[in-house]
Amino acid sequence: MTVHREFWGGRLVIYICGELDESNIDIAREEFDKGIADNPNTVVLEMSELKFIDSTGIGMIISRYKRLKSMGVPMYVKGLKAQTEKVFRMSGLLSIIKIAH
Amino acid sequence: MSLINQMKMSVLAKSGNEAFVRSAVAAFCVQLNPTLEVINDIKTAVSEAVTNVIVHAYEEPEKNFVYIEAELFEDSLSIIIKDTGCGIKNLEEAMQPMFTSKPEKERSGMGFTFMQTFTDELEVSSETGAGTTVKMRKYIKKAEE
Repeated sequence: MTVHREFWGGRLVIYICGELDESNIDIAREEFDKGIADNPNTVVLEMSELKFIDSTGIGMIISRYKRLKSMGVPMYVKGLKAQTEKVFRMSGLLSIIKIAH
Repeated sequence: MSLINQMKMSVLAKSGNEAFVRSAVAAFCVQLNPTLEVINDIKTAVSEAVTNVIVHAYEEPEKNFVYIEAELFEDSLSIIIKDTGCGIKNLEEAMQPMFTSKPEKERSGMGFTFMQTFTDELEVSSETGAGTTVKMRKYIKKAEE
């Protein structure tokens, strides 16, 4: 798993690539939180290179989604694929987080 | 339904082994030529069960084992993920969607729900102080030849 972020004009993009699970969740969480500390006005989670996620990753994302919501910052998800799309859908996240195209 | 193949393995309950275990179980059922969706469902369910062992079962997970068994039938894969750890005190509560004993760790509480959703049958038994056994069955939809 690799994670990196881009910040431009108030827009934070977090790229998560590979397979996200218990073994690397702390790295993803830390990068995400560093991005939030820059006070973005929009957050995009770019997942087109993410092949696998489980409930550990979902827990990390829900927690940040809630925090951003309380800050009034919209969060979008982009590039969901077969497995990640199904996990997002089954967890109910797809009905609360907006998809960016 | 006749048994085609059987597999048993055990690995230390280290989080770095999660990807190995889910890939190994998925690779084991490839001989039935399942669809990509079925393979992904199996990987997701196995990952959840192994995560539970790593996070909850042992005080020192990296020194203890998670035991994996799989049986391949003509139409399905049966998977057993077992530990010899602390067991689950209140299984009914633990299996409730969104329940987590570690909310401070940002756990979603969706592990058992995912195991249930991504397989066709789920059976969990647990004994305090002795360990937990998760049994799952997934019917295999075959990919087009």
